[in-house]
Amino acid sequence: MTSWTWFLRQGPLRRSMGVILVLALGAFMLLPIATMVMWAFADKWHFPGLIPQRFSIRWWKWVFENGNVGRAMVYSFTTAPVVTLLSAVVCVPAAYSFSRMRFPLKRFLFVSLLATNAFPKFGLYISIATLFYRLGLMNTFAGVVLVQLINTLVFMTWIPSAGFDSVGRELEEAARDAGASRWRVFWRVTLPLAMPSIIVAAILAFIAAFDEAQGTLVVGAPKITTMPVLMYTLVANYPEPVSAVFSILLATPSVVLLLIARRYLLAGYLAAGFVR
Amino acid sequence: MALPPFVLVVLLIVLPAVDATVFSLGRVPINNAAFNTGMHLVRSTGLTLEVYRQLFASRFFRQDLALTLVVTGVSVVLIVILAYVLALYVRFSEGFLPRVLRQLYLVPMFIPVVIASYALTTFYVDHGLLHALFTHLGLHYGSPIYHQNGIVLGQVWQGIPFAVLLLSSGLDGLAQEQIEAARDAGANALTVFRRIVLPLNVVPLLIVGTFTFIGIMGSFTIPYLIGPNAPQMLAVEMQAHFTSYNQPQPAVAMAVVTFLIAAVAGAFYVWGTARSSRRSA
Amino acid sequence: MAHSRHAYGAVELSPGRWVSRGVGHALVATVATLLLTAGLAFAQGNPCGTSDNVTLNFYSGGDVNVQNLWQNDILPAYRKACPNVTLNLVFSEHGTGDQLTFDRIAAAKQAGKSSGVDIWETGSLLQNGGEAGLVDKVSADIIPNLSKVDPAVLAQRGGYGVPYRGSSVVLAYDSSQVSNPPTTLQGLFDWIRANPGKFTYNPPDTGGSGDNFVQAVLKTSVDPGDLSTFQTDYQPALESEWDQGWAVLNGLGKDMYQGGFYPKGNAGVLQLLGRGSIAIAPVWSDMALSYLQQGLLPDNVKLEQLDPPFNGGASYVGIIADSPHKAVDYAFLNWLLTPDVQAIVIDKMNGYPGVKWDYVPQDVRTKFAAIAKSYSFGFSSKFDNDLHQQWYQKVAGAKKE
Repeated sequence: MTSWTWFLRQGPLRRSMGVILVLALGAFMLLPIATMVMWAFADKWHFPGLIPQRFSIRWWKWVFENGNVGRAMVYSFTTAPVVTLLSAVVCVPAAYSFSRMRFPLKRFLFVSLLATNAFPKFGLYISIATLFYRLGLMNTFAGVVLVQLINTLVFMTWIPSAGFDSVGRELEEAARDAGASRWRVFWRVTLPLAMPSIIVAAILAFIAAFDEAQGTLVVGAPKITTMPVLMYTLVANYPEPVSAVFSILLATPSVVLLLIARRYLLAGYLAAGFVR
Repeated sequence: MALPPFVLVVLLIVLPAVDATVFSLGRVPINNAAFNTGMHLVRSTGLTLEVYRQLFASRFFRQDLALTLVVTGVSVVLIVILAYVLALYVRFSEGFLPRVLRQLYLVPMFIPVVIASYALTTFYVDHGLLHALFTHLGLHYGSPIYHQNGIVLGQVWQGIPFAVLLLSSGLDGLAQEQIEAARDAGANALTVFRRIVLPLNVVPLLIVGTFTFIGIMGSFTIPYLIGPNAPQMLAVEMQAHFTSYNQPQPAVAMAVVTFLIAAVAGAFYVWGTARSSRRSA
Repeated sequence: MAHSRHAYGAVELSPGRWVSRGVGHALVATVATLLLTAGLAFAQGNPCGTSDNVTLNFYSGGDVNVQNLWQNDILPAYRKACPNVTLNLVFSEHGTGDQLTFDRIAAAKQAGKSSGVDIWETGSLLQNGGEAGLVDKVSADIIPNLSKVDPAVLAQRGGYGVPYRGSSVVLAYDSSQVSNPPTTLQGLFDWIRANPGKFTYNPPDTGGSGDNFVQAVLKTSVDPGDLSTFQTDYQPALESEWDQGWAVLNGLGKDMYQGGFYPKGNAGVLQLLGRGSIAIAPVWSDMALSYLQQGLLPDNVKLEQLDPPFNGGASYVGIIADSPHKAVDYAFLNWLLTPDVQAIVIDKMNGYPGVKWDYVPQDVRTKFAAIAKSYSFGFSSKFDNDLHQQWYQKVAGAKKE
């Protein structure tokens, strides 16, 4: 009697399983997005048509005339990079100390960063608002940046920490023995080797900041709006074609980022950060 | 040097969270208009569990809690199974197809959740594209959208990339020869999986499990846009209490309950990783 | 235009305006004195409230057509009338900013800072704000044209806002599927039972059209003597009078679209109507008219009002307590109620005026004769809050009978 693993070892069978997997996954992942894209160009699409009965770009014109998209895009693309940079400056040194130094409660502190993000943020906002008012941060760019920063802290500490872990101490010690100062060692040896992790962390931090909606609403609205804030209000409150157009517009930056970041994600740096 | 992120966290999250928790224990703050203008407030001079008692006495909350746990559990299991299948296939095959797959499973990661929910809804909804397809094929179609299953669908769609990436990393430590050797020695696929693949993958599995669990349990957007009218997931119910019913106290109590459950999952993760790192040390 | 609740926003009671929270404390005495002083300044002299160059921050929210109404029609007209006053419109899409504007004004007061908001267009939050001392009360003493407004409309917001436009919920039906639409509520129930799956409404907390429909049903079994309490006050014990209404709605559940599915938001219901998935639904008059104009609803969709009519509601503009330009604020709000401006509002928004129909130009009155009746009023915000919760418990979440 042949065991059923025999099937898995047969080339053609394995290949057809592969084809099925790809087709199935592809359909599962991509068809919903394709539907949305078609709606964006649909003038009339009634059931049971498989594609719109009539195409048109009039909704794109409507969106650009009525949509207020421009302002939101500007703010999104200025706050997210600033947040990412600030997060790196604040967290990467912390990541390094988690990796290299020993101190009491290390593990507890490390995990607590994650735990605090698990508390649902609804009721916290008025306290944050009061604090920001006292500090003069309400409705300011700095205030919005701070609020978006919170969501990035876990990524920016955990993942670079793993990156630093992977840089062998021997390398650093060898460089020190050769006469380099601590700073030089960090800058020339450790950092470049840990850079892929930092890049992955930066990408995830950027996305977290970019997608942040609730906090930005409290602190920034209505003067400072970002794309997610716009997204939440418009999607599902407007006729299908309008929501579809908005969705495409607002998802495009993330997709572009995907194309750039693929390489790093697939190389396993993300996993390294979480599997410790 | 390690302090700055924590200072921020303490200021912006811990302190307000403690404030909110104290509120849920019956102390209504005078200076917080969002809390003290709520309806049906339980006021007390000391700390009391009355709000929680009322919450758990409510059939509707218990239904919501049950729904949340069931949906979360089912989603996590499905995500893990699917992610494993994908990770295993990609690990042990070469060629064009696996490479395509590796790009495909990343897709949801970069689509913001709101848009993903919207796209899934337009595709799967009654009188939507999938329904049209089924009709053309002469099949009956029951839409999962606006039902419990719709939430699971959305969460699985969203959760696959992270899970696959992490599980793949665990599989990297496996060599083809190990598997071949085991199979030649007479082990069937299930045994191979149980005895070789799984033990090497415990930590990634634990992470995927706990992170996904915590994330789905507290999620708002997908349940709000795709879920049924009632019962609802906890985060949606929280928001409703806060804004639609003007009852901030139960809302905060629900937040605390969610957090406690998440903390249990987190503790599990810490215990698991500590144990496995001790074992490998 | 009116729409659904948003994740961050709150529920609307009238088109585009948001309901949220409960009551705080009123600082009536101090506020009243300040009001009177500033009001006299306006009433006596300048129709614009000042001859200096002043900038007012005007916070509003809602749909795009509300924004267009302000930006393209009303504000330019005001600039012509009072060139020295600049109105800085801060608009939040869909009212998402409403709850947060409230939070911000409250936080500013708490921190002893100025909120930076002068005038605020929003829903029942105006009343919550008023009772918390954040919003001023208005009266004909300081804003003369308020005498043209129906006192009941003013009372709906506790006297804290000036109603400048309104809308009513009406019944929309697909004339190709429904040749003889029902004209009473009971007739509607019979129709629903005879034609299962062809009617639905949105959950009350996600949109005013569903909210007003539910209120209409609940009102049928309420003791008429208690009706005014329901509209202006809050006594939770009276909610037992709703039981019959809940039973009716629960019973109708299985005859709803898809056996009991309620799409979130006014727009969700309109989309189902547009797709032909349902044949009758309660909708906001201004929303439906706009959708028809834009071709988002097929021409065979018609509107009618039941007898007794569904509720309507007004959109209110209020004055923030710490505004440094009270006289200018009063002047602006007064100007909003003049006949010409009201005519613009009706025309552009397909809506009802804030003043009584008698004070609107004759030609406009004739044009809108079909719906130019007054509307009935909805429940006060606290009753409405409880209504939202009970709907989920007794209709959506209850065991089907």
